[in-house]
Amino acid sequence: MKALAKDPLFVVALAVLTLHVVLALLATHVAPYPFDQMHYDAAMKPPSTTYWFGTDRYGRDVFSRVLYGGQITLAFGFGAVAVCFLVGLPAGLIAAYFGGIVDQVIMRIMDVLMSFPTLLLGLLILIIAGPNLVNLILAVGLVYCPRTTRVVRSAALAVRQSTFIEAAQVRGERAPYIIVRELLPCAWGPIIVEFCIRLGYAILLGASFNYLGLGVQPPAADWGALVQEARSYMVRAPWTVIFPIIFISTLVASLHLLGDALDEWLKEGDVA
Amino acid sequence: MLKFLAARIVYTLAVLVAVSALVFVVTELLPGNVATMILGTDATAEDIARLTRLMGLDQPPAQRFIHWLGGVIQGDFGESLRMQRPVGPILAGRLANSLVLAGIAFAMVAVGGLALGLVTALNEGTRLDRVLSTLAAIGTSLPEFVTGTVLILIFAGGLFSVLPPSGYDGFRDGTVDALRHLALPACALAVILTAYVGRVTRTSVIDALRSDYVRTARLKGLSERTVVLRHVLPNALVPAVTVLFMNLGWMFGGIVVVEEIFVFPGIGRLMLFGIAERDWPVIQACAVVIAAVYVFGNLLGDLAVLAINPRLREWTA
Amino acid sequence: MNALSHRIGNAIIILVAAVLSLVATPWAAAQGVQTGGTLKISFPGSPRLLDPPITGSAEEWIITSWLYNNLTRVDEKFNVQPDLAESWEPNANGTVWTFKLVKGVKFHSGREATADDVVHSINRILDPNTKSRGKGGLGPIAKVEAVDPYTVRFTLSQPVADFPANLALPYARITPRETKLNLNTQADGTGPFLLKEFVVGEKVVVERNPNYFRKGFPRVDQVQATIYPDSTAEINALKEGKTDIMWQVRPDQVPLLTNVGGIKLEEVPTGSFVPIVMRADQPPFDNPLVRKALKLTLDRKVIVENILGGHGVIGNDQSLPPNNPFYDTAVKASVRDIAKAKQLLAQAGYPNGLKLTLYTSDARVGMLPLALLTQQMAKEAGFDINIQTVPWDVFLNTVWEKRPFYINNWFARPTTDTSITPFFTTRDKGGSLNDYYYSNAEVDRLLLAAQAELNPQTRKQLFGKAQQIIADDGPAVIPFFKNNITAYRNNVEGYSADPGVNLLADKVWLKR
Repeated sequence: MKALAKDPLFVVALAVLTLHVVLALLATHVAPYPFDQMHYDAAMKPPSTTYWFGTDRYGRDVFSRVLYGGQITLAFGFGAVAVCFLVGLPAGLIAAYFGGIVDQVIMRIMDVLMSFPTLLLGLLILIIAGPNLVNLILAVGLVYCPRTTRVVRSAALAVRQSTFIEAAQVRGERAPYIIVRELLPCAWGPIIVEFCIRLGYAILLGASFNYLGLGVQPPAADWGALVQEARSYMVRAPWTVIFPIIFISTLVASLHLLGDALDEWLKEGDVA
Repeated sequence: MLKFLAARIVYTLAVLVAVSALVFVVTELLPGNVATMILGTDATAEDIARLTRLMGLDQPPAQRFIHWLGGVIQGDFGESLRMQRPVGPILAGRLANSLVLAGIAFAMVAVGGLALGLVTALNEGTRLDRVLSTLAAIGTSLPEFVTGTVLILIFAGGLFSVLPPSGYDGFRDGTVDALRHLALPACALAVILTAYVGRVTRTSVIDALRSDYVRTARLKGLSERTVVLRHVLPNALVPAVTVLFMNLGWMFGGIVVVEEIFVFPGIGRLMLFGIAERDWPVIQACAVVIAAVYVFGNLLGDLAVLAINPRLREWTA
Repeated sequence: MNALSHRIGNAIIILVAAVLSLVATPWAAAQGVQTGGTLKISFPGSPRLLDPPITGSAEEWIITSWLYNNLTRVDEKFNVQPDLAESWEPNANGTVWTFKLVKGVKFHSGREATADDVVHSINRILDPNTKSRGKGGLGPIAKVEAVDPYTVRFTLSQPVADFPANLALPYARITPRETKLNLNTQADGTGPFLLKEFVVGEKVVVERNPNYFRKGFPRVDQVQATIYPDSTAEINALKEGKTDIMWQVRPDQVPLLTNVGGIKLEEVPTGSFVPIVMRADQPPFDNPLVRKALKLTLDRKVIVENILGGHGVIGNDQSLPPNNPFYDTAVKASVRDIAKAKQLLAQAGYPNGLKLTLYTSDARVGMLPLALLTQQMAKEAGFDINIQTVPWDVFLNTVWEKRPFYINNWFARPTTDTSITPFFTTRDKGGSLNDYYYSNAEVDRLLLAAQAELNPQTRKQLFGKAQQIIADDGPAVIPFFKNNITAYRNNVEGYSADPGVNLLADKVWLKR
């Protein structure tokens, strides 16, 4: 952990991530206006002391909308990753522990899911289910769960052959016990890395769906929807898109850099 | 080898049929009556009933699926509900545009990604490496709608107005005109993958640089140039090229967003049009074709890897 | 007697107008009209079928107007003008109408167009097997007959004052009674242009009819209509001179074409509107106080500015547009008054406000922004509105005519009567477009009387009273009427924005 604390990228990334989470949690207190309040006499105004990030075509405060948008973005990000792990964690562990036909069945199902381009699979799910936050979470989660399953499986496979697993089997422990108590704790490293990276990608994909209008519905908007809303006038009022773009890029970059740093740190730990 | 090839092709075809079935079921589940959709608010009940019969919408779904799949195999995707003409020719034109766009972006990724990886790896640990590697990490965090929007704000109306933000219309008005219209969308499509391929290449080049055979080559007194060109590159390029090809299909997902931003007349925007207008024959056709391109892209990736090094088959899994 | 003198007056005005339009234009021609050249026009959508009775889109109507003529046509001021009919006259109560045809007009195939062709064309619309959408719009025609080769007589089952205007409907173009052509892909009309090429989804090319019965028209040799499903490509084509006229410009595209060298933007008010529908047969909007309260919450000026970028006219909650001659300027639009709205809501039994779901769709321009603005503006008065956005097909199937509160979209109607009567008369008394389920005996009486009234003064009074009641008590919020915006290159002459669905290509000429 010491080595990590010295890595400037890790520290910066962690700080940025923390800032994003805090801002989103405190959005109701920090935001100067409700996210949907219109100031008709102040439409498309550039940033000022009254409207820090300027206003959109309805005179809505972009700063407030970006803060509330962060809540939605983090909600579908964490929600989707939760779905990924709810499916991928047990599936990956079971596949790795039992191997053979069980492994084959689980991984072939995941293969079929993965033979769709991610965006297309999500699009199809959202067309039937209808666009809203819950369906967005389910769609993104489902699209990414095969990848999570693979990572968990290969992490678990690495420890599957260890002597302590064999010892537990000899002791007569039952499979669920071994999986949860012996296999999982030893495979956590790659799983945490996967969590960070997957969260980043889930936010990217979810925001892309929102950009295409297939996520949360107006007047609510995440960062992707904010960029979409302002598309027709973004050249005249660039502040309406620049701030959501800065927010989403820094959040996802911080997650990816965190994942990288952790990965590096874990690998070095292996060497030592 | 042949057996693997045959199995892989059979698997690809099976996936395609599964995908088609899934797409058909999904569009079957779409809410709303197609006939009402076409006729709009002025239609009478008789008009709607007549059109429903005319379009065969009162037939059982299984029968319609077989009929539809039979058509698809012959390139007949039915008739668009909104555009009132066969989907096939429209789709062909749009697909051609998308392939041009994806092809240019792919070339950018190949050149840019490999160069980025090589430069960073050969300068490992230096300031240049740190800066470029961090930029690459950030690059993989930029969704297409962000890159595209920023490109428009910089080059197409915001800071400068040097390139058109939209209006691609094929090569009708000459190659230069077409390339000008392709520049921004191709860049938007290429950024995230270039960063990704660059990172993969960096890792594999570094691995190769640390390998025993390179050490041996250096001990033999070969120049650094020769070592890199003769020993490092051929080995390091395998995973890089693999990742590159595997993402040929992936690119066809990102293209949907890029086409939306740059109002590019490709298959992705045709699909979004279909979704917005609930034009189900269009949705079905686009989804099947996009999935097919993706599946074949992956197959191509597999074959490329197999051609380079059969031992690396695991990479494709 | 009074009615008769009016009719004669009308006939004289029509004749004078006809003579003027025939005389004035060739005279203008001497003033420097240049003929020849190819006029290139862009459309956002494609015509599909060209057989007039079964056409249904604006693009189809425009193309068929180049190939055919009607008996009459409606000008940009909603006045009826002669076309193939040189004059017409009703009987005393407006149930029998006699039309005199222009002599010597020839179809493209060479035969003279006569009364039999008119009878055939009208009967085709009336025949249920044709499945023409124009059947309802023509009016209650009991019989149409050829009195002599140049006289057609219509007998109506009840009087309709707008009848000559109804004959200008795009369905009622005059087609030859016997033709071997497939009129959906080919054409044989009397119109100013001959059909040369028609590729669905791509283009329509027409050529000058050298035997057109109006001397000096058309002015250009050829018209090419190209379809641009992509509006950005369409704008670029105009800017680069690949097209001369961009027929339809959306309000949000206006900034892209403003101050562009060589391009003129022009706009004109229309009768197209985006209403907020408040179903009058269901709570809470069955209470007129609640309807009035919502009307009072809106700042219409802000709405027009915000949604249409100012390219529209404020509406007063009834559907007859301000550019219609029967529009009553005395009927004022509600002005925002939150205190009054709150008071009305309390009076209606909602002192603590009212929770509502407002359905809308983002498939048509203005529907979603209007929902967002309404939500915010009505909030202060105690309306707690939740917005549901649905795709267009879901809208048509589950919202339209079903939900109690939603936003709808209507294009301009061609005649005065059809602009208001079908929307606000009781559903089983002719209210075919009354998705408000509004029923007001006085409105029914006024509108149905106006439909039959031949005297324009009396008619205007009847329509005026109806407009006042609908604006006050009615089930719709109609905050604005959209403008039609068009753009064209500087060398285009004789063209202007049209309040209806017309593009009179025969009058356009190109300056070289």
